[in-house]
Amino acid sequence: METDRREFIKKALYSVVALLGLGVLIPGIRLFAPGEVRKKELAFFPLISEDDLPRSGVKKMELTFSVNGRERKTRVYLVSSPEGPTVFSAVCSHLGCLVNFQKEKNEFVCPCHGGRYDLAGKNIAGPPPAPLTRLPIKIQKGVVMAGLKV
Amino acid sequence: MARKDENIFFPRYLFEIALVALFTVEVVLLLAALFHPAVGREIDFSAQYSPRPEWYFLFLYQLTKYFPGRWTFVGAVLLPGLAFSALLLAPFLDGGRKTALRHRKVAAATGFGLLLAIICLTILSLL
Amino acid sequence: MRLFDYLNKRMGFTSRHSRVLDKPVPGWINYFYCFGGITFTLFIVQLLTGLLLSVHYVPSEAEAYRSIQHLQQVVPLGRLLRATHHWAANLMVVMVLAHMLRVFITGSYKNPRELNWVAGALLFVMTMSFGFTGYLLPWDQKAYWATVVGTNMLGSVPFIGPSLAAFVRGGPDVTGRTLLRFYSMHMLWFPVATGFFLWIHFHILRRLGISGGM
Repeated sequence: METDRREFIKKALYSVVALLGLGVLIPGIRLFAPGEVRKKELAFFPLISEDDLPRSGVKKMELTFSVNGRERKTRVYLVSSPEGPTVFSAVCSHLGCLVNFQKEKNEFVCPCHGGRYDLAGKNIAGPPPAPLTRLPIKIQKGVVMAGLKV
Repeated sequence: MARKDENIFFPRYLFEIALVALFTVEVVLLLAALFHPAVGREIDFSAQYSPRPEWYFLFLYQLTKYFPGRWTFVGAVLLPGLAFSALLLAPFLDGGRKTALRHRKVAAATGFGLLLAIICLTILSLL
Repeated sequence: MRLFDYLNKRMGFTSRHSRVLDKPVPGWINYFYCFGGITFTLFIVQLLTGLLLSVHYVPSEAEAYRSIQHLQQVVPLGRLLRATHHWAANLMVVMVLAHMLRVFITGSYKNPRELNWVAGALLFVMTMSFGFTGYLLPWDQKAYWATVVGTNMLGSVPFIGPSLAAFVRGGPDVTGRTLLRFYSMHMLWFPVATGFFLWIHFHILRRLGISGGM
């Protein structure tokens, strides 16, 4: 009788401890996970006036955009050719460093791990898994706008 | 109680520990007084910059250069993860009672091989 | 001594501690057996300098960088404080590695001390994690970009990578939320975990003593 009672209390104790543990663990993980994950949406921001577009060559530029009402900047490359301008994000597809343009080789080079891209943004050497991100552009009232997912 | 070849922890051995601790603190203070770590420039989301990790992560930095495309994770996560698992489980992988290195050839080769690889990668990243 | 007797009667220091303090130490040990102790000393230095740094540091996107500059330029001894935290951190990594190498060479992790090695390996992870999270806190160029690359490495894992990286950053990008997260880890979670592992480490050491000769 006495041992039955003790066994029962033991089991009850373990259950209570387990419940307490779960009660802390589950909300804990939920609270630790990143908060409201907003879906990124494409938005266009002014880059350069149409009249200032170079005829050829690569131009390093800053694209100012706003996210949640706060201004931020990012580096982009404006590549001009007879077919028209293209805009690439400078963010390396490998691990997120900003690529530099090397005039002598006509290539974009990542200073971190040595990834290389050609003028079409294609990854041609080194570790990058994908081409540079090409930003969609549109011309609005004589201003070239570049699209960014923010 | 204590045998002849043994020292009592208190106070004889603790004194030695205190001396070593004092020496350690002095070295840290000396280094700190002589060489201040600089504050870098303010964050710039578009300036040209090539970040370097701390020296003890340089081998990892170097390792990621060798795994292109979708294999990036092999150098970045998988290999370091495997190396760490081996480290964590070392006493179970390197079983047996013998402690002298000459009786633990496999363990010694693995351990020092890993160490050598990490040192080589670190040196390569500095070149 | 009167005070000590008074406290001892009520708290019983000697009865509990005499067992630790009277433990014999083998006479053959040499200075290669110091690395662990030095690491612990450095950890204490980190604890104290960290507590002092926390009085001046502001973990926010707008303030972090300025608070470090203020610490360096205005706070008396601020530069020395930060430099001490920096150097003790670097030396701590060196000493952890030296300690592990010594234990490996002497085969001290063998039966019955396996679990002490496991606790030690976890302490090694803690040391590296302290290093990684602490690197971000100055919130300067080096800090930001190193963390972008570091967390992107985690993001390269197939399938779960992006969510893993988002979990660590507290969002899809490295932002002020990442800073706060790393600060919390560096200041609260890791020290608590380290304290726990250290307790295991020392407890086993006390129980089993220093491992036998080479």
